[in-house]
Amino acid sequence: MKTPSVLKRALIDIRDNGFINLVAVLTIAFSVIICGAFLMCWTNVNHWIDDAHAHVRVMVYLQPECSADQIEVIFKQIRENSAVADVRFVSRDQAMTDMKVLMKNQTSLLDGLRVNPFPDSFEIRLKPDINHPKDISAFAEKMGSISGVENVEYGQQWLERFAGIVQVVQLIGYALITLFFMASAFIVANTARLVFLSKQEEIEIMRLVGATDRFISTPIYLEGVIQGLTGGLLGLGLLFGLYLLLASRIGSGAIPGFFIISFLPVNTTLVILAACMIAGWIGCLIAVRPFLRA
Amino acid sequence: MGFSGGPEQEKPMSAFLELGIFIPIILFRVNENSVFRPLCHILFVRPGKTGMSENLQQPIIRMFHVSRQYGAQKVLTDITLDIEPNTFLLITGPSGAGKSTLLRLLYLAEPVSQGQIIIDGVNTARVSRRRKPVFRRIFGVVFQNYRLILTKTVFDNVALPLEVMGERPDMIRKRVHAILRAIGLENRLHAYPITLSGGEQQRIAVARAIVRNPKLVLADEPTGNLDSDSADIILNLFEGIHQNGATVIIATHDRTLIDKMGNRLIQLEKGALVGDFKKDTCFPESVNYDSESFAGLKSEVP
Ligand SMILES: Nc1ncnc2c1ncn2[C@@H]1O[C@H](COP(=O)(O)OP(=O)(O)O)[C@@H](O)[C@H]1O
Ligand SMILES: [Mg+2]
Repeated sequence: MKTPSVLKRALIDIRDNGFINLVAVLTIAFSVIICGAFLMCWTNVNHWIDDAHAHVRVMVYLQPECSADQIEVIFKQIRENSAVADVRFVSRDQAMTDMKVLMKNQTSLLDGLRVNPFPDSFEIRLKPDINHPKDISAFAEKMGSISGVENVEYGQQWLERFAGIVQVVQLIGYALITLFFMASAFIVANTARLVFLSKQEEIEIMRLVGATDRFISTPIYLEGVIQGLTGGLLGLGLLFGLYLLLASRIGSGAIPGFFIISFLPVNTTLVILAACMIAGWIGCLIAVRPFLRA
Repeated sequence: MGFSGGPEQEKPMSAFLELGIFIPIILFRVNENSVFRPLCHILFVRPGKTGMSENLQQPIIRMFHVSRQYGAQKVLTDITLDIEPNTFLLITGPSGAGKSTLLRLLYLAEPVSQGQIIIDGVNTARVSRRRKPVFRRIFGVVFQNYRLILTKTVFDNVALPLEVMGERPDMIRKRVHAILRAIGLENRLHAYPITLSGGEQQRIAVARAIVRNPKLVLADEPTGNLDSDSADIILNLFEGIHQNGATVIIATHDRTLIDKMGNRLIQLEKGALVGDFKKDTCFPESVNYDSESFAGLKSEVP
């Protein structure tokens, strides 16, 4: 069987059954958007977590009555600690300006404040090998005991609590992906079945003039794979559009190193496309088998 | 089993029989009176029984006590029939006699209820469901209601039997164009069957049946809807493919077809084979096949 003629027959089929093919493609695209969005959140959160693990960030807030000399002493003490990779002093004025940049349009809210509510602080990044919760809390305690320090905050507390949730979310994600994969396969199966039913007389005639099962079903399989690919591309395209929209809203990179969201990695998009095509193929397999056995 | 003896066992006799074939021919040329008719039937008309050169004389179709019934209704009863290669066989009989059913059994559209059909040396009962389409490629079939594919153009309909065999596109195009020219429809290449007249559709159906140059052509009322000009075109096609060596089997009521064509005619009635006639050297005069005069002719039904 010549490939081009099979492709031609598949495309003619798609044209002749435009509406149900469109429904199948849209369903697949919808599935891709849901699953893709999930995967996107997932990879980003993982990214953040990894990032947070790589360089644990600790904020040391100072008491308001600290003098400049005292601040200098505290700075020395922090810098001499072996766990510290680097340390940056953030003055209360600096904190205020940072906040204004972050809030962009809502600066009037801050302008209304008569006094600057931010304390002076040190922003500390720990060395990469200091990422065990025990080490971190020990470090935080040490910092807290320095005189002039009001309190110490670190994201790790929040991250550790989050780890449990992450696992649950991961499970839900797998279930979601499986569900939508099955839904896609099912909708393609349904389409293929409708195509088959609408062409029963034609298929019977083809058999009578010598068409094998393979000759008859190959274009239908191809149709399923094309549906999967089209749906996958459409879904990824729409997802990318959504991503761009979202990224521009959040103002990607406003706080360096933290609120950057990125799109799905290339590998993942390829896997999604492959999964769509496989779903299309499996759908056809499900639909076509009973007809060929009859 | 009556036909279990293969041709290889009969080979030693073939030299004798090949010589023998000329004797009845000479005899019939000399004298066509009834004394020699039984001899004619034994040695010449049904040489398959005695096994001549296997390619030429092994029946291409052998039906052996074939019956077909739908529930309790017997549609064909105990048909035993050998069809030699290159026969032009006409099947007649009143409507409902089972002509179409007989053809459907031959192209494996339905199974026999009893008996066996051997086609081209293959026991059709042994052809698996998957192999049936491949097996059918030795046939070209003109179906009773044409059965053209309405969603395909004339070209695609006629090309289909070649496409399913994986022929090269340029070869397909050439062949389809040639055959459409032969039936005078080359200008309707891209038309859809619905836009054609009944006669034109029927011509397309015939074109599709013979486009593959099949060894066996089966046609169910192929001239039913044709005006006489179209019918002539079709009959010429059948004659041409017959002359090329194909075996042609046509179920028909059509008087002109019966008068003009064929070298053998069988008659069915209520599912039974009631008449089997040669229209060849044994019966050289134009034979009247009106149903009344059938009775007057020598029947070969066993
Ligand atoms: N699929 C079927 N189911 C039941 N009866 C059938 C079927 N096909 C044909 N018949 C019956 O078999 C008989 C012979 O039909 P058919 O072979 O079409 O006759 P013909 O072609 O000689 O007119 C008819 O009585 C018809 O009603
Ligand atoms: Mg009929």
